[in-house]
Amino acid sequence: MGRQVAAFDWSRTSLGPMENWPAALRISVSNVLNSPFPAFVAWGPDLITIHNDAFRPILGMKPAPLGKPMAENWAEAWEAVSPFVEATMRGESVFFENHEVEIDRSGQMEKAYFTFAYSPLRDEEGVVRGLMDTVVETTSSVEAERKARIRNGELMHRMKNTLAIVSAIANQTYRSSQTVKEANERLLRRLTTLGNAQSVLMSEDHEAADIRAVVESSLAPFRQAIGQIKVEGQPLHLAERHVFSLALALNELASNAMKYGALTVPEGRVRLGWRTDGEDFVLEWRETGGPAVTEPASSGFGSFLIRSVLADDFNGEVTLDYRRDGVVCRLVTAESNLAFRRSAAHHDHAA
Amino acid sequence: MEHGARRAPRILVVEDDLLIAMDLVDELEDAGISVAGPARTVKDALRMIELQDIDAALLDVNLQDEDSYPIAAALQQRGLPFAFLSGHAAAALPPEFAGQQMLQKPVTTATLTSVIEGLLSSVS
Repeated sequence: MGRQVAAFDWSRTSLGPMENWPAALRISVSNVLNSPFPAFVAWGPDLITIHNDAFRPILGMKPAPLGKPMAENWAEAWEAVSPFVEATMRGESVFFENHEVEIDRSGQMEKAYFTFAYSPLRDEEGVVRGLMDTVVETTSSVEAERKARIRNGELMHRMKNTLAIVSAIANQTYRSSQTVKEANERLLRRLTTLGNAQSVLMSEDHEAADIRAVVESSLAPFRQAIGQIKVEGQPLHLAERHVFSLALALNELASNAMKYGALTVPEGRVRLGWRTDGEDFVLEWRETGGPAVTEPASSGFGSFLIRSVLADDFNGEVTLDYRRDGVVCRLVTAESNLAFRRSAAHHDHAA
Repeated sequence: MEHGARRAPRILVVEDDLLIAMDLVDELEDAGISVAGPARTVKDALRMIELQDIDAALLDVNLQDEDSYPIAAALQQRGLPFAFLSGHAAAALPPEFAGQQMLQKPVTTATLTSVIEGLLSSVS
């Protein structure tokens, strides 16, 4: 840049040829040109710009600013910028952090953020004749902060919602259990299932998770029987609400199978499969090889989670059959019900 | 439906989450409060207001694909008291409902019953 400044025909500007420049201007320009920090000097009645190399990227595709009045280089933003310039020319120093300015440096207006300082430059008599601008663009960090704020808000909302669901589950678990010990065990199992499902969501993209990961997380507590459970189905993304209700329902089925069903004996088997055929999504839990099944006398909160909550969250139908040769549970819903909408922050992220 | 002079007050519950709705209904009924609903959508709730004798309502602000403000407006028109329930930390209500009570989920049974008593006594 130093060479460009030296080669520039300054006699065509109000600054006149370089050899006539006042010492104050020469020193300021020399300081700016030697600085690795984005900066420029603007001098004279029309504030002719002399900037350094580090400053150039801020201007994007704007025409070369060297030797042009500041008001011309920032024409589209001048209304916003000129009060700061006037204050500086009155002898004040101006400093702003993350200041929003609308500029055109790519053929269209965009919001950009700058942390900058304008300092007055005085001549030998102490009269303010120009200014020096040192500036960093902070657009990307301002935007990252904004996104983080939106995401925090969403997380907060999700946490509140999860708390409401957890408290309903706790209430219902205690209501439908015979003893406190039984209630404690069931509640711990259900909360663990919710926690595992949450981990699956967090490890993926927060709003959706692969069905197999959800299935595996909800069956994980039944590790000792895992060899007896065969899982088959294509990869498929599930929305958050589907993740939780499916995990809870599968956990109830597996827990029942461990207590009364196919998983009480080594030769018992469970097939858990799902498929989509372009129209319907069908998920089936089928037990075989266990002891003869009898339908439980009363249906508790566990079967409510399977029959009602699962059906409701998937907008589908759930049948829970206590067949003599093994429990069969089927969820059928339109495949279109599996589609999910992403929230705003994720739209940004994906764009 | 009874229309006796000393009928127990009936509360409309509007909540789209099935688990939370069921739990709310259980809690209220245990406290001796008669419940209409739970309604899960604006449409269901408006029909219940039309067809059932209700005395007050609890409204979850955010339903599945809609908010419950049309229900609140219908209740206001009939002079029926109601309180909002919300999962949002600081949900801002539209100005026409600015004075309404806003309960944060999860809400304890004690809070629920005292809020409902307050709603019922505000009209009697």
